[in-house]
Amino acid sequence: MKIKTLSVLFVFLFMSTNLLAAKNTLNMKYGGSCLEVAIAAYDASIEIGLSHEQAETIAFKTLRFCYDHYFNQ
Amino acid sequence: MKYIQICLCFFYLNIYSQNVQGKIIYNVVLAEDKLILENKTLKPYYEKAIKLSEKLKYELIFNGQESLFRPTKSMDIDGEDLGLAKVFADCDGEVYVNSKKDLVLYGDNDARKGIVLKKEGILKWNILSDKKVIMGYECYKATVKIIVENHLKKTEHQVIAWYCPEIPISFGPKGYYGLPGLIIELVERNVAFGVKSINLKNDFEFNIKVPDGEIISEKEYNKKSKPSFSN
Repeated sequence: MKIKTLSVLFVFLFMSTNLLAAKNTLNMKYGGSCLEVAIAAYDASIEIGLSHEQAETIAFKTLRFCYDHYFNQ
Repeated sequence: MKYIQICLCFFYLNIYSQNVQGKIIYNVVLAEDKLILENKTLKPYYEKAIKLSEKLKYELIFNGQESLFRPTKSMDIDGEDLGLAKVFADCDGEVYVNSKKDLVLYGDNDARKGIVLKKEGILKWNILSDKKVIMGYECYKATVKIIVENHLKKTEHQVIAWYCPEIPISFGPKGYYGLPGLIIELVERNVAFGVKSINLKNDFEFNIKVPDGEIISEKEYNKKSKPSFSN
């Protein structure tokens, strides 16, 4: 029982470390969490004069792109 | 004399375009845009989109007075990644045009599922005498002023179209229509669409449908939808 619990804990820790590393890489590359990136992308698009509709679509795509990379690393 | 030629061209176009169906394939080029590239957040995504745009292709199918402009199906293999190029090209869904009714509809996309946007206002083209040869066709220049408005600012920019009177089809990329010839090249801000292949046929008919979804105007949409990503 103890061995099973320990192995689950070990797998969890191993995964967390990997995810954390991936997140850090992503944060370094894209400068924040995926949602922050999407919000920033929306604001930046508005600032440079794109339409609300295009800015929203860019934000959605950057969010998805960011998540795809986050889970694929 | 110039105006008589243009009138004759429109008259011929009206008769000819009622019978012709066809499919035009367009390539896309995302040019380097100083405003976007100077922005830290957008820069990495736009750089990626520029690379991806090399694979991006659109098709324009038309049937009498209706047309549909959309990304080609073969691109679906790459799926989401090309999506980034599509959004920066500002065209990630279908664009339907009915030239007789002056109706332009933008089909839904990931950000506004089930909502079809109706474009307001008729394009007021400024037809110029500048000409150049593209793919062996003599093309003429036309420009139109577009106003883009968001909750922060209003910007005006010029769209440049090169149309070919030899191909009397009044359609083009992204819902731009109404010129006395097919739009062979279109430049809208940092995005350029250029014809890759032309296939005109009379022996088959394309099934062009109005995009599915709730049809609302751009203004209504902007009023209704709160800036969901805004701080």
